[in-house]
Amino acid sequence: MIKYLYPALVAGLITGFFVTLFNLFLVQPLIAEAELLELHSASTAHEHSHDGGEGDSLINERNFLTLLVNIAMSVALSLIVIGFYYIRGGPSIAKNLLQMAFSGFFIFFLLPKLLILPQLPGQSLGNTKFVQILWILTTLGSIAILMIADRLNYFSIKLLLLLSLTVISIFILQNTDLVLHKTDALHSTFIYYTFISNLILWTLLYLNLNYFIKD
Amino acid sequence: MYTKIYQLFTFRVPQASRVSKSLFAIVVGFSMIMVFGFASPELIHDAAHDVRHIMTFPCH
Repeated sequence: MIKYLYPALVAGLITGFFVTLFNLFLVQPLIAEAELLELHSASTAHEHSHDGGEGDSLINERNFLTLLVNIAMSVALSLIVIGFYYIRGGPSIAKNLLQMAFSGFFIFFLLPKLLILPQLPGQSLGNTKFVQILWILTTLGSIAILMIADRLNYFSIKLLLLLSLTVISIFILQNTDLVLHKTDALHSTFIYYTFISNLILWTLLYLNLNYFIKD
Repeated sequence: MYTKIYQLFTFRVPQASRVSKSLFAIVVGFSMIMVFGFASPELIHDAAHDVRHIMTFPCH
């Protein structure tokens, strides 16, 4: 079991640390700005209770908790990647892990992002429970589709990916109002930086796991 | 004699298969994601708030 836990813990620790650094300087200021707008907005009833010593200093309770959660999330994603990596097997560690990391980025970020835009504080998704269930079903569905595609031959993989992209494109085209209406300058910047942040996360996970998995 | 005693104390624990270990790792990973991504208690929500927004988890 140590060969599963050790790479996950180390890769999660390193990845979580560097992703938190990126987020602290580029993404969290946008969240803080959105929270200020939310506070000043009379139309928003939702209130946050981040009373964890949020000062100008980077070292405060909120950032420390964010670091811990980032590390925990990176460890969790590493465990999932390692689990699928050992189930799937394959002749080349690097190539196998690269495919896993790309699939992870697609499943956990890109696909949910296409269906549910990254959300700033103050932007309500409406029925949160329904959207959360949609997120979970989308994720599990994508994993199931990729696992089935992986068992089929090369042409079938391409066909299934093409079909998935077609379905996503149709959904977006049919919901352009929903997608475009929510986007303002702050939100666009947030979407852009969350994309970069998640790309960094999955790239670092791949590099670290590729280094620490010894098989 | 010594061989029998050795065998008594060094019985082999059947190793879990690679698949079951892998499934265990996947389940633990998903459970952590569910807790930090979706759990609603205020303590967890506030701690994971920024990460949820950045990783596109539906927060509120």
